[in-house]
Amino acid sequence: MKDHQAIALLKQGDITGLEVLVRHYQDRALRTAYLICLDADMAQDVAQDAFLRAYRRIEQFDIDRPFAPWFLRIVANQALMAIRKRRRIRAFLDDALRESIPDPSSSIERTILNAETEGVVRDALTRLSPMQRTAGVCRYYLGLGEAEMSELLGCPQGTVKRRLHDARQSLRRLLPGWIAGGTE
Amino acid sequence: MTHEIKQRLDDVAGHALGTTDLWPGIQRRATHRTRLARWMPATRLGWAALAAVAVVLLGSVAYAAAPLLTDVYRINPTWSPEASELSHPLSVSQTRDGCTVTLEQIYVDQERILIGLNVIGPGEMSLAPTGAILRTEDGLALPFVDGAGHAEPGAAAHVLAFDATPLGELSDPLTLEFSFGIHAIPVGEAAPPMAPPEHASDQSLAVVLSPIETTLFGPYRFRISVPTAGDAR
Repeated sequence: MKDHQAIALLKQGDITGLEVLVRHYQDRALRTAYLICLDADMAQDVAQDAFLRAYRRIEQFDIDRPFAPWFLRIVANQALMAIRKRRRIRAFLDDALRESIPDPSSSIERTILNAETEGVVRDALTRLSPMQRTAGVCRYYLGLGEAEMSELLGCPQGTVKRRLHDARQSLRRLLPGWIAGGTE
Repeated sequence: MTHEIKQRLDDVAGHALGTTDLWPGIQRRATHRTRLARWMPATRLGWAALAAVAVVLLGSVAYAAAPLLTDVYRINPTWSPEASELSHPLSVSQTRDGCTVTLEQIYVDQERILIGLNVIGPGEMSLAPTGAILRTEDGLALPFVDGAGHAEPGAAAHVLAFDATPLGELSDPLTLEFSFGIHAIPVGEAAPPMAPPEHASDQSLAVVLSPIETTLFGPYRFRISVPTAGDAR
């Protein structure tokens, strides 16, 4: 069954439409939530909440538009709210670490690509603030543009740009061994 | 390059999560929601009406119970007025057989812990806590020091004080387990009646206690987490 058929069912109150959407999108929802929360249990809660939120708001969804971007924005927003709720917001990098980074010319893209192991990438993501991480996941995992991110994060595009810049800077500082230069 | 980054992030998340089926949990919650939705208002006006009713009901309960607790703090002169003002709000409730206990606030310092609670139960009953036990999450029981209360038929407010000195250094947050029952006594029979005994003599006066039908509600068990580094101390 296609997405729009499932959504049509759901709009009529038939919950089988929701099952179809869950089967289609649960992996992406879980992974998006995990990359923002960095906690598997929290990611499951977030993904479940996001599906239920989408279910309750399905009347507002325009069936002629693609479901994935609309839904994954809900996931990212729920993940960010979950982090805030559990007060797991981490501080930005400390000043000492900030000062130890000499080269401002690398990019978040190269940092992630050049990291030798997944553990290194995960550790680096852990050091980002939730807002920076959400910005990075929205941009590089969900492929959202700055306008969409601005809407999702509830802040001006300039703020989105700054958060992405901060995320890049932080990763560059956290993974200096893998920096190979490049553009942002 | 963007595709490669996405793949890298996908690998990180995929390996951390494994395979998970969200549908059973979502189905359970969605079905529950559907059942609930039958009782929910269908329009904004309906929601507004429901909210107005809730405000009136909650306001009535607060009006009935809240002033009592404030009065109770004044009963014991060793409980400084600041204790009620510096308390950490809790607002957690449990209901057993129609008797609802709400832990309103807790005050913690190095020497004592004061817990303020409201009770709403059957009318014409005087309600008081009994068998209160306060423990740390490690099982250390804190001695009960004293308590005071203010009861009206069907509603009561009580403050219970415990000795905090066995705790030594306070952890932050401090997690406690609090359990007790609520003893309900018919209002007219709360004070044992004295009856003129038929066999009384000038030398003795016997007091005849009539049997009092009491009810025990509970047990109520709460797990409380209270910050001790901030305003609760």
